[in-house]
Amino acid sequence: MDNVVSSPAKPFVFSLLMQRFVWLRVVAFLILLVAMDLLFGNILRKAYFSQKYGVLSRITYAIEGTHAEGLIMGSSRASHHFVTDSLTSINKMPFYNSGKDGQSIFYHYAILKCVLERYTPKVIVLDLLSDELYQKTESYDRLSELLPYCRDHAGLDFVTSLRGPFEQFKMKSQIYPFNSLLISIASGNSSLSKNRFVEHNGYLPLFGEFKGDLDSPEPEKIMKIDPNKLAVYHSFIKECQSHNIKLYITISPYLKLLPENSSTKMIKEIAEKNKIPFYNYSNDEHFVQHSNFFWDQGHLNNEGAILFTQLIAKDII
Amino acid sequence: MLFNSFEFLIYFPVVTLLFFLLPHRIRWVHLLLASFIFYMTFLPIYVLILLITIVIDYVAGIYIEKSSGSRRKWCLILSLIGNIGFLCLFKYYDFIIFNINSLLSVHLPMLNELWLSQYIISYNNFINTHLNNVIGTNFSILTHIILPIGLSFHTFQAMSYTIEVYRGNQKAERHFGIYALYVMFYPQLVAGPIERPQNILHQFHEKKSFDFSRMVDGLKLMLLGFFKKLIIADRLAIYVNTVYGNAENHSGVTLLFATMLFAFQIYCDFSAYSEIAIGAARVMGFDLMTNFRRPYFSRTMAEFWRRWHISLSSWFTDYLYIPMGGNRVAIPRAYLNIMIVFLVSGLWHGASWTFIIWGGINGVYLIAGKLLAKPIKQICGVLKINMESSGYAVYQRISTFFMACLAWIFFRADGLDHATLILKKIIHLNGKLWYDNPSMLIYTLLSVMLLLLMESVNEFKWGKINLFTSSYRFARYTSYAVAIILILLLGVFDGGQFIYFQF
Repeated sequence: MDNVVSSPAKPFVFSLLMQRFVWLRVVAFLILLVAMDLLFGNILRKAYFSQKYGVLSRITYAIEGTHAEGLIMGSSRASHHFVTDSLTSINKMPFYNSGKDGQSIFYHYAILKCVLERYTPKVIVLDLLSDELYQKTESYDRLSELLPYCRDHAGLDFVTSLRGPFEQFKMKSQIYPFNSLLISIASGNSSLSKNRFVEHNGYLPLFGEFKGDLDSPEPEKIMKIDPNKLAVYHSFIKECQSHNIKLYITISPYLKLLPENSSTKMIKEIAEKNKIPFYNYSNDEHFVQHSNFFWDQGHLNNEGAILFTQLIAKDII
Repeated sequence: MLFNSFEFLIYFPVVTLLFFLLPHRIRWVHLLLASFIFYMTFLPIYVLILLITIVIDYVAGIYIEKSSGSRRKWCLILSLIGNIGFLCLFKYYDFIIFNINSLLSVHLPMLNELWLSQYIISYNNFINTHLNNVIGTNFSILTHIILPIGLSFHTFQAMSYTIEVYRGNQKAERHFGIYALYVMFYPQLVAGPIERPQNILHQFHEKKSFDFSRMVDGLKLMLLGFFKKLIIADRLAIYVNTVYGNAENHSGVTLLFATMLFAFQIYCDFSAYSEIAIGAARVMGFDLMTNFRRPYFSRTMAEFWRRWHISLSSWFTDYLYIPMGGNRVAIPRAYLNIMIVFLVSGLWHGASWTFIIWGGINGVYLIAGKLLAKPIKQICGVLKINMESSGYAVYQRISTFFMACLAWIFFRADGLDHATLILKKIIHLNGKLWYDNPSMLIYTLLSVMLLLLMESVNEFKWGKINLFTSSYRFARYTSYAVAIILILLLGVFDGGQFIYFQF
């Protein structure tokens, strides 16, 4: 112990007591922080829920606005593939398309839970991806879009749990649910977003044809089924059955021919086991390799969506 | 455990509180234990590598001090072989073997084909499976060997100890626990700053009493680090990763913009880690060395390297450049020394030709800077350009930034082909600037502007604007609160780990 340098040191507790006025400053700072969080959090909340345009107002409408008897749920593919006005006129029943970019079964289930707090739709079409049940971190990350609604909807408790063990602590902050939404909220409250979307009861048409080359076939990756997604898929079906909602599960068209993977097989098996009609259009001959019906490799253009809706409408009457 | 994780927000105060509550004589045990836990949250088995190098260097240090002549030298050499050996095995083995195999058309086994690797993998999986089952952790089950986190950092720190003992600048540490803490001190264990024994070792012996103003200073530095990481670095990463991940489909303009953003991203990412590390250590009463001094305000590349990753640059200067003769040799040899240092520095960052080229470009910059200094002065004299004017300083800073950007392309690219493609596209500078949506661009530009403002305040000593150091208590407290609010509002919480972890 040659290098020991002895320096006078006060015990920690003694130091704290001696500096009690200093600690009062810490308390004052914490009060200031909480007050600012409350103030800005509530301003953001007000601004968020007063949006009239843009992507965020679509989520609010799906959760708190629509009373449509028929609901379309799914990712961006659902929002671009199901022409709600056509479905409404064919089925003589109002439809709303609540499809949302990049979302998974977690989000769709959350929407269902919120909708059921208000009313019970007659028909739900759940459009899933061919690899819907695989583990993907973005499925959890993207759930942040639902955080503004968690405070008012008890049914969304599972969302915070799925986001991680510390999410409930982060949610103590009033600002955190609006993380990274500042510009979207501002634009949703201005007329800037008004003309960015052409929307028909939630359907977002895409115009133009896919001109690029098809991706070369990738070697099949070993993907794991996400047990959380599987559980939520089961819950979705059960919830619909217990509320006597007529549920249809679909996989809408892709441009590329896709081999049936374990996720698709599982979706199909569970649907059949629960006597839920399942329609897999992923390899449908009307669409596969027909780039004139596509905007990109995963999304139909308006022309393709009209054709697909006509085909699927026959199935879900 | 990542600094930018919620776990760390709980771990750090708990460790710090216990540190001050415990009597001085057992604080080293507490810190060592905390450092073990911190490191083992990444991959528990790799702590064995640390332990082996700690034992080697601890014993070597004592033997070096006791011995003389060639025996002393051999002790140092054996310690260096031990340290560099691990580095070569885990970091450079595949790179070396791949190049030998390609060059000589042979098939020497790669790292994962060695029996040792299979042994490590199966042992790791055995332990992790049990830990995951028994205490519910989520440790990785390996299919192949991965680089131990922060290997290059703690190896270099350990090497500086034995070299300094050999040089007689540092007494050999007799307390094994304190020596282990020197290598493992958790704030700087995985990404530096790479400390010298003269600066940090004695601090572990000193009795630290709680000091409120030090705590506030440390927390302010940590807050600045979190701000830089969450609001700037991870925000810029979204754009940079999207563009670099699909470079073939992006225009030259977009790639140039992404490269400039990467320059800011890597700076904020790495300097944020250093600031959190230095701040966390300061709260507990330890002083770590400064690692960055606003490098993008440098007027030459030589100045840039005096401001960027200072702990590594000074390491190479002390232990490689000066022992090779530094600049006290014939001019061509001095230039060769510079080039060697930068090539090795490139290799330190990663086992890939792109990193070596990155180092080489920087070496060329420094040599060219020395060669052209006189002609530039003469040209400026002829053209009557005032080299001391602020306009010339701005020109120098911008040109230095773009020179750094050119080198960063090789640093960020996924391979030589990728870097060449990006470079070609940037040279043609065609097409439009891509962005996913306007808010992405606004957030990105806002982040860069915020960084430049923060850096300017410190660089040009605009003290009145710096609310963090305002003499008005309310302004100071409000500025801390606003920084936290901004992190909550604009921070990227799903961002990844720090870039320099991989080195």
